[in-house]
Amino acid sequence: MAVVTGLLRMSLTTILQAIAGGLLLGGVYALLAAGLTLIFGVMRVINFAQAEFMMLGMFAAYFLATALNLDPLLLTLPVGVGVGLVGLGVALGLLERVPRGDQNAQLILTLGVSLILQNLALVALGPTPRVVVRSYTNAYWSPAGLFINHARLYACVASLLIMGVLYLFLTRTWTGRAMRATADDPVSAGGVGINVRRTHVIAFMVGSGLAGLAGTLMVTFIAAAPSIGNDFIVIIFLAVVLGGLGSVVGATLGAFLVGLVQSLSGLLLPLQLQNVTLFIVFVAILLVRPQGLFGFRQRV
Amino acid sequence: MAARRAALRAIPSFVRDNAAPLALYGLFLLIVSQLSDYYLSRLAALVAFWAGIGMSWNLIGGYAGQLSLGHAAFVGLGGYVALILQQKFGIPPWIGLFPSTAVAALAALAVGVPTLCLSGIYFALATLAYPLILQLLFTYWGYQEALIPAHPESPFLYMQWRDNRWYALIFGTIVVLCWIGTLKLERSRWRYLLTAVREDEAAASAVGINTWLVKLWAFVASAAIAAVLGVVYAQMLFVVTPDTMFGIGVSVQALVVTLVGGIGNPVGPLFGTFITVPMAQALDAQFGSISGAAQLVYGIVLIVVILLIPRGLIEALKGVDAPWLKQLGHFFASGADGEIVLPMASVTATRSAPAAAAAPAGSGVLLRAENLSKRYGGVVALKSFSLAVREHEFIGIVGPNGAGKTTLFDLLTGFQRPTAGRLWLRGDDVIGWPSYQLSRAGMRRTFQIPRPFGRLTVYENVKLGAIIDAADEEALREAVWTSLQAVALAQFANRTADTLAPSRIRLMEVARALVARPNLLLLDEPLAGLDPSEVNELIEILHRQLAAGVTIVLVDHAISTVAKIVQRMVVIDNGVLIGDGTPDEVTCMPQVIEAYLGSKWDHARR
Repeated sequence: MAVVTGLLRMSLTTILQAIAGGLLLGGVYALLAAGLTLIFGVMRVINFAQAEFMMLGMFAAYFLATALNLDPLLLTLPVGVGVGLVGLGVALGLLERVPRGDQNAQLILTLGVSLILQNLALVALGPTPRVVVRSYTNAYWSPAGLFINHARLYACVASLLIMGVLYLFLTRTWTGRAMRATADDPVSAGGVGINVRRTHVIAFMVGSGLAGLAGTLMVTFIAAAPSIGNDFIVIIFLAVVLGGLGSVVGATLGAFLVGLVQSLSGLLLPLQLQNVTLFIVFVAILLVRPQGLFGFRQRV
Repeated sequence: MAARRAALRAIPSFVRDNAAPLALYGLFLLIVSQLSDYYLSRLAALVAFWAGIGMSWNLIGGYAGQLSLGHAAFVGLGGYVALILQQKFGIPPWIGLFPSTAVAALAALAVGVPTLCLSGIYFALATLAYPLILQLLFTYWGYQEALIPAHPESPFLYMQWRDNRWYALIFGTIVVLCWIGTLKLERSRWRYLLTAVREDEAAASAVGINTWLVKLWAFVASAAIAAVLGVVYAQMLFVVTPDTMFGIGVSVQALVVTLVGGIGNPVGPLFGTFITVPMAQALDAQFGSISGAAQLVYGIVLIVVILLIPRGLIEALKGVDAPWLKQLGHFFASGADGEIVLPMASVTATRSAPAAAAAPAGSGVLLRAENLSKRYGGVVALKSFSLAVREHEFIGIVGPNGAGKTTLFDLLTGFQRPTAGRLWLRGDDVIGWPSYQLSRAGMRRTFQIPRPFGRLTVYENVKLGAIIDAADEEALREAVWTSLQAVALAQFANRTADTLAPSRIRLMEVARALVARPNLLLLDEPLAGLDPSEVNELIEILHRQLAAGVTIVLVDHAISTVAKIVQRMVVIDNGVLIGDGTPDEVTCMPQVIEAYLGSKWDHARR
């Protein structure tokens, strides 16, 4: 009730502004969440290092952009591929070395990777946040009295384009189809001649690469810092859990929902309680509807 | 030898059982008393603290096998509640210890009740959120940097010593108590309950264990110990931040120290702490605690341990061939259960297997299912199935693959809930009863794919079958032995279940079900994978049990084999009952013949 009356007292513009902000944020979360859920769907691995792959993407974009004086948006693809290759190394060197299905071992491995990446960055670069300032970082587009930040808008649009490519990849290419088949039933997938190991490794590479892309897109409006992952990881988990672990479409919807909730609750609650709300929703969904809000079957 | 045994007997059993912890405690006290250096005594206190944290985490993460990433929630709650009581009401921590432990235990209870219904990684994910929520809340409530009110005049009353040795003493004492408690647990029935839950929850509930409750106890106990440690830790830190108490780093460190030593090993956390904590402290001293160097090393340690020694350092050292190491291992393992000495065959061989008291055949209805249905989304697995199992019957449920046999079995035994329908066990309405409760009511099952407790011995596996309702150890022993003999596995009693041939694992599962003297035995495809002589062996066993008064229902798709051994046959196809009667009647029914041959043939022709 308090929430409703609180919202009623605000002007329509404030609310629209929050909705727009939430959707823009959700667009970028979608990349992170889609990557995480793809990895889970195919490999049954919860990747605790997902947000650290994003951090890696942010720093890579920051250093390349400043060194070469390039626009980070142009670096999206190369950085994404680079982070994907790091993911490939993690999958080949670590995850595929423990027995498949030993979920606790795989979870602990990704936790280890997350600790290593985060603290390696801290040791090497120090805690200073770094942001790439471009002409569009502080530029605004104002339709109907709203303020839409250019940097965020570009990131969201680019993110949606990438999601489209991901959709085509999963539905139109044989590698993508192999992933969906493996997600459905790894044993039958192996039976029809799909190389399950190769599919797992590629899924992890694509999933972590998506986090790298997200990092590059964000570095013009969110500062890169070694510990930035801590602020994102539960938000990504929440988006994925909302959509049902393993469902890419679900995770995308979940990401927009999380962006909206975060942005709208910002109108009413102080920052800390905002996140408390998100975490409580996270736990509640896990407890009440572990298959996710939208009822997609667990499928990539 | 005899003299030595007599000398050993003269020692009180408490000391004998806990020789390792008591000796190490003595050594610890001796060393700590000599540490006048601030840095070294601090290190001793920290090592003891993290060993305690690891030991408490080991209860839920190791013994109960639930990977909790939220241990920090309880460390922090303990520390902060005691701190607030001290700040607001001047209550000394010695007293505040009790309410803060109670708060943490209650929080664990409240959180554990729903969360422990989740399995595997879902549990891990959910527990991740709890300390994060608390961390944000305590920050929001203004405890960003909480200072403990200083009482330099009475350090003992307020746990505020300059000398870290006092903290080391407290933590060390808690660790030794935990250790002794763990050894006691390893000797008690709890060891079996926890192992069963950790190894295989479905099999555990099939033997009548309320897995959820077992996990809940472990979770609450683990939280309470963590809270006690948290109270003292906060006093030692003096300046407390939400991050040092609730941060993910605390939960990770609990995992690291236990993993390094060996998860589920009573001394695993102790070993792990001795290795990791001094290393991390040295790195922090060298580079500063915000440099991330220690955390970096923890990340590497996690990966190295999982890849190279997933069962921990202690297990890895067991493989090293050095006599002194073996001696040390024996010393640390003192008090744990050794190999089971089998009773003399002559003592028990004469006892047959009297299950439920034999009653005149064909009396009352034991189990009645009415209109049971199960849908998965749009797929109907079972449709309005009704069946009455009379006492002392031997029923075979047959049907082609995918007919709904295992679904039916799961519904009858409480492993799945039906979408609709009723179920009575001897007149009790048992619809919605969980599997463990049905198992306790005298209904035991085996699984289509056998579910042994792989790392336990055959003896222990069968013992678990009767662990819930065994009156005393002696009766339990006898029941296990009788049951093992009934399936001719007695000579394998001390073998690890994993090392048995698949057919013997099946027999072991039957023994695990029989040991509880069930009224109703449900066997899910018990004949699969057995060679003809083994099939005959099993059939003989079952007929003996039948004669002793057990009612048996078995499921199989081999209609011809089943027809030879049962008194009554029930056929299902596509989730519908299509035949019920004596084997001779049923095998002549046109719809049964069609289900087994015709419809498939028709389908192929079309």
